Amino acid sequence: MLNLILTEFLKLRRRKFVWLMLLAALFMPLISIFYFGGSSAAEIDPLQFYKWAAFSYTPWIILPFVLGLLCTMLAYDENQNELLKQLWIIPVSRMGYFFSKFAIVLFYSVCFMLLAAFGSIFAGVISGLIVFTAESVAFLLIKCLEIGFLAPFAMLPVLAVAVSQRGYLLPVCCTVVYTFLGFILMMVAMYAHPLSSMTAILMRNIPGVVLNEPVNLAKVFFCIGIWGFASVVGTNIMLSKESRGI
Amino acid sequence: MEPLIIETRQLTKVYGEQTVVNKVNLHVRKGRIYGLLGRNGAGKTTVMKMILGLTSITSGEVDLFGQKLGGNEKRIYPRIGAIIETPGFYPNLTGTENLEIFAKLRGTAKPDAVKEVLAVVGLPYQDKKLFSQYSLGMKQRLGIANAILHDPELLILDEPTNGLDPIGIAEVRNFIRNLCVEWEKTVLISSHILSEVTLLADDIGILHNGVLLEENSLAELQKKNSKYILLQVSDTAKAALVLENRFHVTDYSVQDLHTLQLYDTTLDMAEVNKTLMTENISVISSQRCNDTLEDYFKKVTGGEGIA
Amino acid sequence: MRTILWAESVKLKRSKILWIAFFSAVMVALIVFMQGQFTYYGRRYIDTVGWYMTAAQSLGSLYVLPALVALVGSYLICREDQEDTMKSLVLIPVSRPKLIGAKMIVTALLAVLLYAFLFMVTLVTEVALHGALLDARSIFRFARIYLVEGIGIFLAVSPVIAIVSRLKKSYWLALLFAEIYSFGALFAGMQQPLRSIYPVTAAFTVAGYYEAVPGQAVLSLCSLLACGVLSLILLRGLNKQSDV
Repeated sequence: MLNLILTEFLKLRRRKFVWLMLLAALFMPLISIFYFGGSSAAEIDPLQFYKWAAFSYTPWIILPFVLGLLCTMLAYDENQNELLKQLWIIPVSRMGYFFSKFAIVLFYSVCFMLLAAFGSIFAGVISGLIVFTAESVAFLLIKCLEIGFLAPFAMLPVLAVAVSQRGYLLPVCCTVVYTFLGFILMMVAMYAHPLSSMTAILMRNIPGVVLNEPVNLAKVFFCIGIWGFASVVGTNIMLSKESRGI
Repeated sequence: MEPLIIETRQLTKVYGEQTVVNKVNLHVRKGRIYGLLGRNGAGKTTVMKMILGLTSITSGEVDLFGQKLGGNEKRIYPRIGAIIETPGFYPNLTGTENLEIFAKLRGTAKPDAVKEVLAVVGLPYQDKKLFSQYSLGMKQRLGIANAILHDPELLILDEPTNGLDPIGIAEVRNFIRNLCVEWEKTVLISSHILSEVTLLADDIGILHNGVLLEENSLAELQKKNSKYILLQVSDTAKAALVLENRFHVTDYSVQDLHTLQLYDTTLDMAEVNKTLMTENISVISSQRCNDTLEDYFKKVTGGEGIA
Repeated sequence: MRTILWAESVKLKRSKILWIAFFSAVMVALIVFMQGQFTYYGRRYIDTVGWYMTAAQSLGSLYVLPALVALVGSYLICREDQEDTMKSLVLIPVSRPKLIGAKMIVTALLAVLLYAFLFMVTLVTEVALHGALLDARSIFRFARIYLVEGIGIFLAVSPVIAIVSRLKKSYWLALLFAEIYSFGALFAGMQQPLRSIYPVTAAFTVAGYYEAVPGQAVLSLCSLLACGVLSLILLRGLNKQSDV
């Protein structure tokens, strides 16, 4: 398995766009500078700034979107260049293949959120909007790691779609729709969608965020778990069906 | 002599620091089949792309039908049919639908053009099969069909028999020959298979590492194949002395301690053998040999050979 | 040009992208309908007449539709290189500016169709929900908003399509650019004059979704036209690349 993951990293060589996408992590920190523009360090609590720069939109729109694209890219080249056949006869197991892709997405996601965290600190401190406090930074980093780690699990359905068919159009559109659905359901049916469940975990203890009811962690993990499980099973079925078809 | 349809002068292509095509002077005459022979990566495709204006030219010139391509595209392109590398088509459409698009864009006059060319290359008309489901051979056939769809005067075919089975290769070969003989088309065809080119081409150009090493008609090239007598003896030094003194032979070469090549094939070999025996040199074998084109190409390319 | 347009439409035959685009539009309608179930001060959003049609248009335009339009456009342009048909087209010869122009026209048409389709879906839902409460004038107003929005969003994302077409194989970029760009409208919409200038919100303004004084509307129109001109300039550069 470790070898599989290592080869996944090797496949990313010379793929500039994969790394360029990381820049999307800096979008919200930049927006925050403009949003808080006129204020000064005395008025803004660092956490209030981070809430904008790292905890808003980045976790529930930008990150899922970027991860969805990443999943598609990882799977698309393999499908396109008829590489899968060669992998199956090495042999690489269907699930080994799926989880090695997942490992990349996980790694990427954590990197992305760390970059978002450092971007937020940097943007806040450099622009003079907030002061650097160890306590707030520690909270920020923990939260970002939390999101970075959870988001790939919430994105498993998209990875499943990307891996189990050939084109790029469908997974990409699924990413857009899936992300949008997660965003909308946050208010309506939080525990129905992995992304909104993930957001629930994120929001459960951010100072200044008031929720209608306390977050039910069991329901959250159940939601992410059941969707993830269904994706893994679905992928397994699709991949074995396809390989029989070759 | 027939007029030149394609002429390149000092055609050169440089990618970064690598010279892929180096000062190539190519001459393709009307009504003839020109085989561009070279190994993979010799620069055949790049030469063809430059001729067609599909890639920029670093230096040098190309004339097509005696004109420059730049500015004359609307007049020149309709006179050319081409396959470069593996032909691309729309995967979501059938072969017929694909050709109909190209026919319409070209403004092909004949209403049955698509049907006719499909028959020529042996593909079914209005088949349900999508291009994405085609085999390599079928894709190649469709590419050829597209290249001849508008009845062009000049065909530029980059390894057109790639992916075809032996029967398919023979069909395409006959078909190209037919085009040239009956319809007086001019063909520039590239290949890395020597036998294929010798069966088809009138003229041959040998491209090696981007340099055109030789350009000549097949007949001329075949004349160059030297005939010689291969003589195996117990001692070449002694034998050579005898040959020089008794038979006044000067045109020979010593291969090793036991092998000699005599290039004067008019020698009376019975007499030679007898004389050598009386001089106490034993003759192990003597035979008449022909250099093949393959040997010749090996010589030209400095030992690497063609295919 | 007519032949090229005809060819473009034939090339879309059996193409999954149309299904996927319209499926996404249906999903937008469905998702927004779900949001309509949200209760605010004891009243569901969906129970307000016109809320559904307003929300589907604005949420769709912020999160989904611009990315879709950019995807369709860049797919149409990039596929000729992807499927290696560009060299055959160049040899016909088909002029590149005309070819790209035809593709842009098709994309614009599809964008309008997509909005028209979304309009029909939401209209039917509205009528089913509120029936008689919906008057002809507001239906007409929504029709105008949707259709103008379709063209506006196309113009707004056209530079994204043009940029991606220049990079040839990285059509992924189209999506990421378009998504961040469209959702940036959320922030650009907060204050004037940015709201009138930022192309995505400018499309909202021109379509009549935002209340705007004539000056702002003109500013928005100029912004959208500037986007169109910018993409023309970018695509001209594309035509100069000679290697196929």
